[in-house]
Amino acid sequence: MFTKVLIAEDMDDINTGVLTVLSKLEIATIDHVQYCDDADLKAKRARKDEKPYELLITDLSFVKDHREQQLSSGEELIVTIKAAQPNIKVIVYSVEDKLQRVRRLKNEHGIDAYVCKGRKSLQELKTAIRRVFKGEEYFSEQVKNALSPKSDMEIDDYDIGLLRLLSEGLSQDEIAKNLKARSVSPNSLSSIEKRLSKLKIYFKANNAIHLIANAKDLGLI
Amino acid sequence: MKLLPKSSFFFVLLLLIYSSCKKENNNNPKNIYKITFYDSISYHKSDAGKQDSAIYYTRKMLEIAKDEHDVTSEKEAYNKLAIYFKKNKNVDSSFHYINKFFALSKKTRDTLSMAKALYKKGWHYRRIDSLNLAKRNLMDSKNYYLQIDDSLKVSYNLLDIANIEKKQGNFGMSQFYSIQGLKYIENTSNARTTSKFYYTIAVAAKERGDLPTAEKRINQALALANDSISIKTIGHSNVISFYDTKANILKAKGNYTLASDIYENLLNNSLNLGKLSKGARVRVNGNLAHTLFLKSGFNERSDSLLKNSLYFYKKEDNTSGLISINMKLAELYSNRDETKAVSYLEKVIEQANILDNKKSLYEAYHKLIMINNSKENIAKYLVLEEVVRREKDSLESRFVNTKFDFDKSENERIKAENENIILENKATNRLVQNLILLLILISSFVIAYFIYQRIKRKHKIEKVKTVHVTEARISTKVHDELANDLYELMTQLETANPEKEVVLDKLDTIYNQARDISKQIQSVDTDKGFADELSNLFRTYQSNLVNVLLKRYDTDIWKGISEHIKITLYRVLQEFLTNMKKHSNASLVVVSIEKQHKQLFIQYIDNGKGFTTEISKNGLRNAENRIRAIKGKLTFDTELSKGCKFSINVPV
Repeated sequence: MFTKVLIAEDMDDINTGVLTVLSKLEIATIDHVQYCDDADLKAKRARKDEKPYELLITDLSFVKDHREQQLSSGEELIVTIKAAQPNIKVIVYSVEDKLQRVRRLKNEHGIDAYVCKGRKSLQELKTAIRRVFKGEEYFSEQVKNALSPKSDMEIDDYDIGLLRLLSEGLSQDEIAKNLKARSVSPNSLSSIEKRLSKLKIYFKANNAIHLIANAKDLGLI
Repeated sequence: MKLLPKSSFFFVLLLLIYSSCKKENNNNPKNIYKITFYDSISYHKSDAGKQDSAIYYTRKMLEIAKDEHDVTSEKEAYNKLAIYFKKNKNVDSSFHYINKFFALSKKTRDTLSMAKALYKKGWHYRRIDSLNLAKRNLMDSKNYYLQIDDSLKVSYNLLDIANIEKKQGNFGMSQFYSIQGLKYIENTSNARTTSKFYYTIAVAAKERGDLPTAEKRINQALALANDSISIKTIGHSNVISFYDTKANILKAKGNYTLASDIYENLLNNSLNLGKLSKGARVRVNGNLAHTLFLKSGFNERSDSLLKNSLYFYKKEDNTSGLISINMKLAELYSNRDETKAVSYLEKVIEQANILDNKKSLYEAYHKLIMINNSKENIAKYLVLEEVVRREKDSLESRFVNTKFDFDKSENERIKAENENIILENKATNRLVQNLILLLILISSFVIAYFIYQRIKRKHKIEKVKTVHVTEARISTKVHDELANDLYELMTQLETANPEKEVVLDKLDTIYNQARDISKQIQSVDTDKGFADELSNLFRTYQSNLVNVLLKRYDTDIWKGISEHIKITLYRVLQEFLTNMKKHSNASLVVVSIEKQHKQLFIQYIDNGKGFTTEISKNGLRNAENRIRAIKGKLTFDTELSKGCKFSINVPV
């Protein structure tokens, strides 16, 4: 398990929760700070003492108060620490679930895990720490989609055409012929089959009949 | 008193500074002194009649002036050389220096010197009988003098021009220029020039047959010569000419006694005008003889006077004089001795032929046919009459033309003056117009500024209103969704003793509601990332329970669409999705976005429970308002348990 972990979180109560989770994981040193600047200073100090932190758990937003801060957000903190210590592991623990933000943190700053605060988030955090220690990644359910390919759930006119032909009672063979006759591509049997099975997933259908029923309910055909 | 030595010291100091400054400016004072020296010495030499040495010193002066680039002295030297050469009867050299004088004056734009030079040029051309050139130069000189307001010099020029015109036989023009010249000099006491103008007018008027004017004018001229001093000023020979002309006018009027009296007085010097010159005496003699003849026919005195004159002119070889005398002799003998008269006339014809004087020839033939009307003579006479008539005609037409030209130029001058006045008025008008324009501009700026301020304030009020509306909505939401649920939980905890998990679940719901509210007012990237932002919105609502399907579209359609339309559409779709998640239990959502003919067309379809129109009234009012604010149209189609369909049309 990790031996030295730094937590940056401005809310005391949340901190307590996190500390409770971490204590169950048998981690030797757990430091927590309420300001990003302090986190940076502690990390610097640790590096100087040649006992650098192995993991950083940080929130993204910090409430502004009377103390003037150089680093005002978790993102800046991650950038700063990663620059000096590229191999440090980072888990973001935040309320935010904006997908672009998550994508940017993952792709540009190389975070290892993203846990959304919520009902079950402390449990998730525990899992995340374990996974990250093993060298894996962890992303909460809400933000998982951020990392999947963009064209995930898109349909087009070709798909609707396919559904219409199917609703007219054509078999897959007949559909292929029909498409060929109108020189619409792709029109091979295998690609039609592939497309239809994808549409079944999209439309949460168990079979072709179910698919057509759902599409009809939506008024697409 | 104590101050005196101090102040005098200062004065001396100032003087020293001044003189030293002056020295610095003229780096060669020695040459300046030399120029002045040569200038004055040449003047004195010329005054003493030693023109050669005057020319010598002036040349020295010219050299130094050229070395020193002293243009003023150079011009002065040229002028002086011209004068001294003229005095020395070396007219060609004089003319040469006049030209140099003129060129340099023109180069330095010295109007006065140019006028001077041109006047002198005019004199030279007149001397060599280039009368038209002389006139032109004098005219130019006159115009330059006009520029510098030297009216005396203007009148001199006009007098010379008038005399040239007289010499050319253009009596009308001569009279015209004289009258013009008179205007410039009339109010001065320059008797000499004024009387000469009167004289010229009188001669011209007499030649044109206008005897009353001629008499009036010559009397005016003579009135100026009323005492010995003024006679001296005007010049004796000039006054003699005045009397001669007066007598001629009287003779022409037929008042022979008075005319002959004047001639006699002139010859006797009873007018105290000094001895007549030979030319003048001969002329007066001729006139007297003719007058006596006209008065009393043939008489011995006329005969002897004329014969004396004839002798004199023969000696002088003065052909035109001979013509005049021979003509008078022929007239004298016409009634007495026809043979003699004819012989005089033949002489006239012979001499007139030499001079090609058609007028005298014509007169001679006219008299000849009175005595001897042979066919030959009549034929010649008729030919000459024709020639003379034509000449007269052409002279008259030329006179008319010149007159017309003059009138034209005068008209043009008046026109130009009028135009100037009009232009000035226009300039004033334009100034006024500009001022008015400026005033309008300023006032419109002020008005525009106030209108702008008002619009700004109105916008601000509207903005504040929008903020208030949003605030009210959020407050309602917080109250309805969060506060109510929290209160419910609190009462449960107070009355019952629910399980920890149940409480936590309930709290989680409230927590998520709070987050949804926050999301609804979060900022949206409306720039290039808008399409991504939108698909992320759909993905956020994607879960194990719901599939949100987006129909593929060209993301470029968002280009050029204004920010607030984008935000509005985003918020409306967000609201649909939130409602869907909360209430409808839908498992499928399809969103399509299209742009056709400057219209954005967005469709949202789900397969949830749907709602009654009753509920929709409250639930959709917000979305409707938003769409209306971007001038769009929201239509929906829903039935209980059959899902719902929203269509949005927005013009872009």
